[in-house]
Amino acid sequence: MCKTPGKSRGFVIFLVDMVVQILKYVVIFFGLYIQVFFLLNFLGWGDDNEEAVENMDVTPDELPSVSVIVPCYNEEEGVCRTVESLLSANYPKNKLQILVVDDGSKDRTWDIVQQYVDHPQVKLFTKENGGKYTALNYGLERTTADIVGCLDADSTIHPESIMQSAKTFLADKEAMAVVPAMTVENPKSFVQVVQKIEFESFLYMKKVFGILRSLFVAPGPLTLFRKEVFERLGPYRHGYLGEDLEIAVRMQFNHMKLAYADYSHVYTKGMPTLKTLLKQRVRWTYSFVNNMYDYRAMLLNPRYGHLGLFVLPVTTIGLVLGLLAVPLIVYGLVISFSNYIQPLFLGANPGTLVPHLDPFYFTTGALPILGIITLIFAFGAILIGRALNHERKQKLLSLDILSFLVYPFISAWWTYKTVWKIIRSQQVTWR
Amino acid sequence: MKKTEYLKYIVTFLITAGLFFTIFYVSKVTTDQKTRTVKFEQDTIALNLLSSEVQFSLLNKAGCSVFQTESAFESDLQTVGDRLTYLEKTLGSDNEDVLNLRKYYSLLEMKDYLLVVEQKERCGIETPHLMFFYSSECVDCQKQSYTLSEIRNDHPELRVYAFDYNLDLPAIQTLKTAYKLDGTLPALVVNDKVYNGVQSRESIEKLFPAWKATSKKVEKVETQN
Repeated sequence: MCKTPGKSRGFVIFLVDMVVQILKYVVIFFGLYIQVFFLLNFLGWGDDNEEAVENMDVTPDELPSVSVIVPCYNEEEGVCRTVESLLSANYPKNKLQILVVDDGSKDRTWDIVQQYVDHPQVKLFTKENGGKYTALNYGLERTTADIVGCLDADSTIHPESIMQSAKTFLADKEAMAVVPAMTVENPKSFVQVVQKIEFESFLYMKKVFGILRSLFVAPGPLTLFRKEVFERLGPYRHGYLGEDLEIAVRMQFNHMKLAYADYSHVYTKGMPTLKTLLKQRVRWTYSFVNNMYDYRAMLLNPRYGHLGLFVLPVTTIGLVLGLLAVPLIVYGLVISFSNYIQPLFLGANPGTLVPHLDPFYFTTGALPILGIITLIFAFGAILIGRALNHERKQKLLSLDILSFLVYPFISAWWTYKTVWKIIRSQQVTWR
Repeated sequence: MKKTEYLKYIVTFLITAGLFFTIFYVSKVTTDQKTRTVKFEQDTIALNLLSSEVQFSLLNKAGCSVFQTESAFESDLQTVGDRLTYLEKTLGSDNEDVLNLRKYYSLLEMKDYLLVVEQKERCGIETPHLMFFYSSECVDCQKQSYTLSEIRNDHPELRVYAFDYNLDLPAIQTLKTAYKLDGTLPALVVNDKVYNGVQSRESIEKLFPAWKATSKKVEKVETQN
């Protein structure tokens, strides 16, 4: 019946303790607020264009002409599959052009794509290496289609996706760009499973962002733009190696809207190893931080709607919190564990460590319950995203969801790496 | 942004605040319920003790047969003790409810002890028991408590009366004076003799001759096989 050894507390320690407690509640409240806000918008506060797109009946003549640029750098493995998936698209062949731009590959990419040299829908280009955005701009200069877009050479599309995106343009006159539903197919490594689950939660987030007109990334895999976007805003920019983020933010800055197309499915592979994943995410985070600095006028600015007022500030704060939260969580876990096994060092036999099944001992503290609710929301986002994936082949609940538990640690790791890079003003590279 | 869009943020705030405070309320209610449960269980034990006392006083030697079987409320006392420790951890040892429950519990232990002593004097019934004095800062006391738990596993009839040396209760002060405790903790009192410092399992078991008989029997049976 002995108590655990107490510590004598000075006033300063008491004060720090109180501040930490208050911070915990503030952070949890903030987290809940965000989740509730997104959920309410998802459930019906805003309009999504799902119905309008579904009910849209168009004749082939009404469909816009589409050009898809496939920029490649050393993509000999996947470029064929990508081009084939585009050629299999259910879209009038005379209205769909594919521009393969080889950005000075050192492997056999250029040779492999020669098989399409006589194909009426495919145009091949090669140029000196200059970076992805230069390849995209090269393609932009050489097309006259109404709708232009990009498809990364490691991604593939569902046959209906171009049609769905095109219909979205017709149904949603305000939309200057359409973002598709991206998922990770056939994950092989554990890292890829984690990304698959992550992308499922993005399906939910992007739908909500679409409703809020707050999409701020135009992902490489098949984001389609009305060509006047580039006519008015100019070509792709370097964007700190995040040209997909930069163009979307630039559009929003100029009050051009992006829409989300639930039914437009594209498939990406996901980074195969932890090392490649960290490299990719450092690139994304680095680009986000720098572009946010350039476009900082948008932050907390109601002129930019929900994006400026809420979504961008929240994402930025989320990054900072991620830096702090993970060490705190790890610290808490280590302390709890050492308290739990402490009896063993004091001579108790291991049998005493088995927890009581008496309901009396179930935790009823406010903080743990709130923590559990936050966790439920996080898994809820994954489940909702999965339910939204009309092409999914698996059941709603599956064990791979648990892999998400490692996600906060991995994401904190790449955030630290990004901060470190920024502090040392290092250059960030593609691979 | 339209005015109605700003409204979204306010409504979200209200809903989140509502959720937050509901959780706080539920948490408080369930924790209070736990405190009440422990208090109720202690009341039941007090009632049982009082009932036995009264019976014993009303009947003389004839009263001895009352005590042959029961140690029902002894194991209840142990369960309540565990729950009280949990409440202490959750609510903190400074919590007023917890302090009162602990004092109540200490008094119940002493009542049980007095009854055991009387049983021995009047009816010759031997109940193995000891007093265990501890304090919250004393790490050795924790070790000792685990040793005592192990002994109780093998000898469930042992009654361990645990008292917090620093609890502000006059009855504990009386015990301290009676046994001339000098504050070295842990302190065990067996058969009115004080043992300071951590005692090993064997040295404690030696103090109860009744157990030696049974353990010798067990050894004999084992060697025969």
